[in-house]
Amino acid sequence: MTQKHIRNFSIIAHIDHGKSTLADRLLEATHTITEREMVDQVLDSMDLERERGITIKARAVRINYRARDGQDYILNLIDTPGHVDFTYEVSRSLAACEGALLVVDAAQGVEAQTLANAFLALENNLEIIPVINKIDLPSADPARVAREIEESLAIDASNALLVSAKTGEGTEEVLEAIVKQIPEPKGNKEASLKALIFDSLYDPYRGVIVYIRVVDGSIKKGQKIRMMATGRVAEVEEVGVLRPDMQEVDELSAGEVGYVIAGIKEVRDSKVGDTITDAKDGAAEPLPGYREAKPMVFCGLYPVDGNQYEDLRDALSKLQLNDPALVYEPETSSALGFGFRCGFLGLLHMEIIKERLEREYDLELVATSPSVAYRVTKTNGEQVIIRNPSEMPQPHIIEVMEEPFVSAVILLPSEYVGTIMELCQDRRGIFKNMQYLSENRVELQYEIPLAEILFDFFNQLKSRTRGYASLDYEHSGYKVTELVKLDILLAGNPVDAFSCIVPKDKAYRIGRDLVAKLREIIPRQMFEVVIQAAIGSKIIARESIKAKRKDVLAKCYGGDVTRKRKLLERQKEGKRRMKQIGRVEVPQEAFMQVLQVEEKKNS
Amino acid sequence: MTAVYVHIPFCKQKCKYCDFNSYAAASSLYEVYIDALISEIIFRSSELRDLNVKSIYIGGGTPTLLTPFLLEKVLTSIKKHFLVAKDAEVSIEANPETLTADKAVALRQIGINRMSIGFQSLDNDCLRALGRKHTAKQAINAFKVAREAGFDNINVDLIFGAPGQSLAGWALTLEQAISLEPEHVSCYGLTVEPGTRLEHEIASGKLKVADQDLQSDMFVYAIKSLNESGYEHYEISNYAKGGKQCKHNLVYWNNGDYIGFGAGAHSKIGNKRFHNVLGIEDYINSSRDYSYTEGVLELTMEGEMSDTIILGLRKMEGISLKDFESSFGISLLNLYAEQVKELISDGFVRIENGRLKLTQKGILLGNEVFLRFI
Repeated sequence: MTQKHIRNFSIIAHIDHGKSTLADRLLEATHTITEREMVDQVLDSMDLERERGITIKARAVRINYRARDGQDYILNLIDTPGHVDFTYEVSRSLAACEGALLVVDAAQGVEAQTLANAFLALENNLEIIPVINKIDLPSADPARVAREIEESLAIDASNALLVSAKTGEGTEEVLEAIVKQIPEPKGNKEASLKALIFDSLYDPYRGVIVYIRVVDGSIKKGQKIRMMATGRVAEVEEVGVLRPDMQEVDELSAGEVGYVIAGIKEVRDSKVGDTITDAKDGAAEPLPGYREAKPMVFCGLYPVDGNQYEDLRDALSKLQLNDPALVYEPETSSALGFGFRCGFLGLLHMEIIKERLEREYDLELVATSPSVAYRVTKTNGEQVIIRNPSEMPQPHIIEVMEEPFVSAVILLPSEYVGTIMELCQDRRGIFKNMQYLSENRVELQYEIPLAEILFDFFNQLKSRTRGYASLDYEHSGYKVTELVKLDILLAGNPVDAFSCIVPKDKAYRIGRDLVAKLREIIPRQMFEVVIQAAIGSKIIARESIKAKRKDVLAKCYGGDVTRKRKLLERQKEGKRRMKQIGRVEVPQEAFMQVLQVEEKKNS
Repeated sequence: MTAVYVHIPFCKQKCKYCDFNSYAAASSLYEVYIDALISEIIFRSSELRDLNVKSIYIGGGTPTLLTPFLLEKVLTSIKKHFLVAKDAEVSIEANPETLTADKAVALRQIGINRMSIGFQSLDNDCLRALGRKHTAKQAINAFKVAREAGFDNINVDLIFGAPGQSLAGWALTLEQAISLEPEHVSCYGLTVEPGTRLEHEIASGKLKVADQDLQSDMFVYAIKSLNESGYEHYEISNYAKGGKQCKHNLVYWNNGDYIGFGAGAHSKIGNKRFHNVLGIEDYINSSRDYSYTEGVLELTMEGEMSDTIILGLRKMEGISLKDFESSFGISLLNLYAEQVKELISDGFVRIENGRLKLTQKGILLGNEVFLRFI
């Protein structure tokens, strides 16, 4: 097959706008999979993805299509993860394509994620085909949505395809548009190999499976290859295409998409965005755009049962095989014992990892409140990165502190602009820009500390706009801010797992809310428990939990004995599941929940 | 010495707080149910006829929904097939709205010598909030009717912490109940059981019940007030005058043997605990092939020791350390050395005249004590 008959494309869309359903229709219409094999949303294969309705890992599928011009084409659909935590992965998937379908919900219109992904596609010089989906909905308004696309993205949407992925209407037109509008790949088959890694995953039987787009040259079995960023050299054991099952082929050449197996043991040796070249006669320059996945959010993960520490370490190392963005190192907490400080791309990534650890490895975990990485310059000029509040140096040796910011794009109906600007202001946001996309749709741009986005920002955004606002953001570097370490004392003793770094001018409010929240979460004990918030040695808030006064089964007669015993057993199990800090029993959720206080109170 | 329990699972209507095995069923089932009961009595007696029965307790449900004639059939059958002591305590639970003067006389005549009347409260607002079908006046009237019929051993059940009840309101109910001079009073802190209508109404914000602190004050008040009126606090929730403790219930707290007849009734014989099928119709059907028994639990010695302690500590006199050792061949203080030491130093229990017992603090926080022996 010549490059003339190859089309490489992605589908980009806001969550729930129908990306996966459209992909399913394309696969069905081209008999890429038979109906018997058809499980809804083939591309999302992980359980968690299906449950959350999001795509975590990118996949690729090769589709054979005979177009109306009578010629046979190969269409490579490269799926993209649909969450802001994975922006870099999205950009690499897009870099492997020449075009993208921009799917927009005919009722909901353009959303922040639509914009963010469309801009990524434009940056990669992709041909964008606007697709207005869900035209079967009674509330569909394709004309309005087309206008929004034109105004927000400056893309001609007058010929936008109107489809209903649900009913299958318009599928054929989409396939034709892919063939006609997306340019063919223009690589040089004779040049030395350059293949872009857009995904890789670990398979326990075959080692790492690397998903590539060959840009120049070709790759085949037996070839010695080199990963240009990691320097890792390997011998190709197999190359193939995904239909969607793996199918071995003799070679993959310029313009083609497929997989490579080369005896690589860890995903970190074949990182997304890296370039594969020939080990002997390699390309001089890698493909542009590679960068290291950098964890942005950190939290401590501790086994509830101290004996599971080793199991947790094993599980983390196994997950890391498949996910180089996950980092971890051992950590000790005087309150929680032995655990790990883990780094994640974002909150969703963190939740996914925690859930997988609990579900797939049967671990019971306590997670501390998430934190970002702060940069501290000490008075002696030394710079340190703080991922755990307990690492924060004494105030008198801190010259300056910086925290990571994101530039956020928020799309919302104009009537909510006031309340959302207030929210952003309250979250220490720096106003950048405001633009009307249409008479009642506004785009707001803010620079906001990442830490402020982490805690319930999205929920606030949704609840203040009755669900109509959408958010996307990208990291925009460090900025100097005034921060202090807030400590929490239980019965007079500081509990390291509750410490947090907070903006100085909010410290009092957060301290007060925190102790009030802990007062609700921590059950009454056998004695009065005083909870205090402190900055340094200064107590800024105090609450107390009254001693428990009555807890006794009122009745216990013949018929009750077994049942009452069970009640007591459950009560005992409940106690066992709590973390004992000094003499105070603290429920696990306290550690995770503490910082969510503030927002709930405001809402 | 063995106790016999007879379960009558019928109610006119279920109370809001109730999670017992009781049903508002058609009265046509009453007779069939009694026949099934008698079959079970005969069936079980073939194995257990040598047990000395010193108490019979007819509970429910609402046993007084049934005619004295039906109840007599059951009592006669028990007496015929088991060795029932001449001075056995024979109790029945009565609901105020089902107890008439004639019925009380008839119940006395068929050999019932103790009556437990479900007052719950003497405040009409509380009674309504609890979903009770009687008024305070009816409750007092039921008491008088029982007394006039010759019952000289009467208990009244009271609940504290009912929806909307204040400490003063509780004190008034208690005072009025005491003024009737019952031989026995049971005071239960309202427990909101999962799945009950009460739970639902609290969750939905329709009703509000006393918090822990108020319940605690009410409990302490009850102990003091009943004590001053000559009632001995002998079990966490029970008070008696003139030595009229409930012999039947003491069997449970002494971890003694008992046989339960009827749907869902529990038995404990030696180291075996078992219970009957729960549903009324299932129970009736099971009498065809005598398949009443459902769950049989064989207790280990550890389990028996633990039960003995948890149940025994409910009694204010506590557990005799000597009796414990002679029953199990091991000293309680050695077996639970750590726990007992901690409980004593935390002020939950004390040892007095060779008995381990709860302190005042331990009474209110009994679960904290029981947990250590689970």
